Amino acid sequence: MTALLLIVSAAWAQDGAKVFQQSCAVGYCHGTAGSANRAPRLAGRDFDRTYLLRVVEKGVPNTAMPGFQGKVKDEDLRAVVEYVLTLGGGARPVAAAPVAAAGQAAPKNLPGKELFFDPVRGTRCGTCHLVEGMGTAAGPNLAAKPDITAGDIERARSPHVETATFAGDRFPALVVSRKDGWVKLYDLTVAPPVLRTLPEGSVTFGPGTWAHGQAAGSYRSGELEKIAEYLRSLAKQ
Amino acid sequence: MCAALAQDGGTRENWPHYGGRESAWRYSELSQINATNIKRLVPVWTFQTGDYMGGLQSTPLVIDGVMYVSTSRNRVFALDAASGKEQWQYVYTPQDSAGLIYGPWNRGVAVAGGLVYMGTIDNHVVALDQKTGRETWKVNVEDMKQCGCNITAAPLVVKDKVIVGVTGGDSAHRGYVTAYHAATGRLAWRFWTIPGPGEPGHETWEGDSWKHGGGSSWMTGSYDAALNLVYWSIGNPAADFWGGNRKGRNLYTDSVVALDADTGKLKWYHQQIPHDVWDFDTAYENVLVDLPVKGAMRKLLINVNKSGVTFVVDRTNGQVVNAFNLVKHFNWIKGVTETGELVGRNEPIVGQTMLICPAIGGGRSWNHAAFSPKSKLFYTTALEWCQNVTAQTEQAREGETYFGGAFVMKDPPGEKSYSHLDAIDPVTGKAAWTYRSKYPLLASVLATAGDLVFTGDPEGYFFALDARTGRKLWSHQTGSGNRGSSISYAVNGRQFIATPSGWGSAVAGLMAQLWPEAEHFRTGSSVVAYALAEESR
Repeated sequence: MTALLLIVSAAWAQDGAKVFQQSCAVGYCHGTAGSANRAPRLAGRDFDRTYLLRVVEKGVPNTAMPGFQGKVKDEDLRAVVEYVLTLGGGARPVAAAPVAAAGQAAPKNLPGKELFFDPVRGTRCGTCHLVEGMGTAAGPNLAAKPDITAGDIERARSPHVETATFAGDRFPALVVSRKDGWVKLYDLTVAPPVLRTLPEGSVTFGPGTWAHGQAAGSYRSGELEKIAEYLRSLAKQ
Repeated sequence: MCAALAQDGGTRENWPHYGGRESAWRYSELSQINATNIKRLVPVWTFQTGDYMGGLQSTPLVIDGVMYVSTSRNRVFALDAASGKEQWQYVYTPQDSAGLIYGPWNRGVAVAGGLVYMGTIDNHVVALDQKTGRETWKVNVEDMKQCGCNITAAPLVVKDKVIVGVTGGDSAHRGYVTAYHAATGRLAWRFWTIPGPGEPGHETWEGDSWKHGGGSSWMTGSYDAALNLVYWSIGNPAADFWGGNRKGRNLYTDSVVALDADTGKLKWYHQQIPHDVWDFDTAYENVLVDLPVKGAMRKLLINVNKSGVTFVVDRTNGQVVNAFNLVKHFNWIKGVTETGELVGRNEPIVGQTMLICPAIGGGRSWNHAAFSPKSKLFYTTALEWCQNVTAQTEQAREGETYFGGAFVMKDPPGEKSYSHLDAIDPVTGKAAWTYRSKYPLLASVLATAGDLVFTGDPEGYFFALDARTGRKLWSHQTGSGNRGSSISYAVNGRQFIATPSGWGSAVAGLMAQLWPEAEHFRTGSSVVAYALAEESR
């Protein structure tokens, strides 16, 4: 049993060396074989396997160490942990080989997700909506709409968007909070939305005329179909 | 004898901008503290920010007796600049602080029109009330998980706009420089550093490589009001060490771009390194100085490339006036011509391990040079170190690191790594003097009309050299390594010198491979202010 575990660990560590070379040794991070760059040295140190796995999966808050869960396959994360454990002074793994030849498949996203966050567009859904931890939470939560359709996106009303007047300037505004004499609102004049804090008494509000179609206008209806499909899949998760 | 400089790029009572003035000289006209009396320079206050992880890379600003200083995690403090007493503080809460590819660190704020502007570790821009620190507006530039970028540089305020750059040159990302209306935070313009389909320069990218080609804008630009041009330096293409899928010149990476301040439209560009495969960003400060060249006054821009090659261009049109190398140890090219052409490229080869000099940390790091109109010298640090690079092919993953290789730091052939601060003629590159340092000099340089040049070292010594000879005149142990930018200012007729102290940064992290003791250099985060002892003024 133990022997089998050791063999599995050794095999994993070899795979982990490759993953480490591409995801951990790069740039200013942990350096070749954990020799240290900006990120801490990993070579020659004793780590607890459970601790390492947690750090690799979740990252370290307030540092440059990201969580890799969901970005790198789970078995690769376990493999990289086995590799890092070998850097503690035990058996050295073989030198990492160059990996990931051009053309190797990147993690596949739903086309709708790519459209939602399409960086080439000036304004995309993610400019105002937060889903899966990305974007800006100005607009409503879209991750709980199991029946959303492209038509819903096209025709979306925005009943909460008012017309604010401040210092002679009229603009579409979405109020977030009113507290201690200050009103926090999203200014939707142009994307991205700006979260502004204004003295409550000096802002007046009137009926909104802003339409969601202005923001969604960069998408064709076929693309909106794909986005709706993506949102429906989120609601089912 | 050359004509007196018509240009006024020096600071006086205030230190209003990141680079001193918009021309980025980092030169103070104050001379109360000078080469004759500097022995009597004493610390008068210290301010501990408490936000020490990552050190303190900031340039404090001083306006009308108030100092504004930002820390690694975007805390901002307003201090009485004469006493160090806190007036207000602002604590930023990031949307999501896990997984910063760059940072956490911050290099400063901008102050104008009653607001204090700062870029954040999660790629937002905030504007704070100058009197109270209350947040007035906040905008998400782009989700940082998506771009793999954030903002570490100080913003640049030009007229009614605040302009910011982003990190991201080592991520699968397409860079940009963005301007917001200073009063409201509304988007004014965006300059994409990589041209999109149909735009001139798009043909310098192969296939879809432009979508993830880097071109970050991670330091602060300069501004020439007479020309109404903003000058921004654009970083390396991604992947850093491998360019096999992005054949072509890869515009506008590794270029200085001149943008119309009102529209963000490109006026001219000068690409320093076509198709970079060494991670040698054009990222650093653009020093705007008018100097005679072959008998005629020229409006010049001086930019030190990360490789240490320094380009002097005409800032009205981008034409190269001269180019020269700051470092002794280089083999990534054989040389550079006076017209700025690189000769004898030595590119990393996939799967092979090659010694490349200088190292990725640069022939110089981002810490600024200074220009003195009095000595007419340009004071810049330089780094002599190398690395073994192993390039590898890599698949772009949006927002994730995209490096195309790994490296191990190495000493140069036949010599221990070291650093130097040179006083050079900014047009010819000829050195007037050189100060040698055991460890990399990674703090900015400050020059003053008191014939002084200040900088600090990784061991925490903040020191002054004679601007004319390079002789060390004074030093003080600040408690932690220096990686920020010192300034000078005056309150009620008393001149102060202030420096951030607090060791950290990506490049600082590389040091331990060459100097094992550096792994244990202490971090910190404080501002130390100095003045002449009252009785000796």
